[in-house]
Amino acid sequence: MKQPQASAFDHLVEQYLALESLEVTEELLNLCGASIDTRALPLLRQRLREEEAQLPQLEARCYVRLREKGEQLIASLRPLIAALEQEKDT
Amino acid sequence: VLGECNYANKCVTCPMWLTSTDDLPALKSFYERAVRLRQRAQEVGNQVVVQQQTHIITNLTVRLKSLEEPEADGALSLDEWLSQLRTDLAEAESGLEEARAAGLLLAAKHLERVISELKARLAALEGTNR
Repeated sequence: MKQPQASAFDHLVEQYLALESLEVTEELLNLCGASIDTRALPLLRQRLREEEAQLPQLEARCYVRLREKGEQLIASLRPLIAALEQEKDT
Repeated sequence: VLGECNYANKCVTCPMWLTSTDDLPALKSFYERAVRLRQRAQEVGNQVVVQQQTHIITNLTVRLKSLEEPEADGALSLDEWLSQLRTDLAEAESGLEEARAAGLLLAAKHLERVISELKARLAALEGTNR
């Protein structure tokens, strides 16, 4: 269980958690405890896949606000996952 | 709260979030889940989640109170109304900046309309206050 350097990483976590549902946030607390680390990667990747899969459906149904929220969540998940993967590889 | 949205915690800070007394049960459930999550975050020592849930709980408390005590609105004096409208206007203007920065065009348009309406109401009320 590794965690990238603070500050920029903390900002990524804050951005992501502000958009995430209470249920997933609770799962992350159970997985990682006090701070998000590499143990969260499988769940974060799963959330990214779910959100990406949902976007075309939202687009097709013209759910503009939901699509915007999905895009924001994806935009916050990608750099967070990248930061954690980089840390895992080092 | 009731729709398909998976990001329940996002509504609380959304300037376009509209609720009525019909939403009270769902809002109370939301409040209780946020309290439980904050408790869990405190147990594991996750300060980010504690802070975010505290913010959500504070906003929900205000909203629940305003829905449960609607008679308080009718008791506002003219000065209190003006003060409330100025606060709403400041929040809407701040929300507009955020919406523009995030590229949320529909939200920005909606907020522009809200700001126009608030300004008109303020102007009308200020006229009666002179």
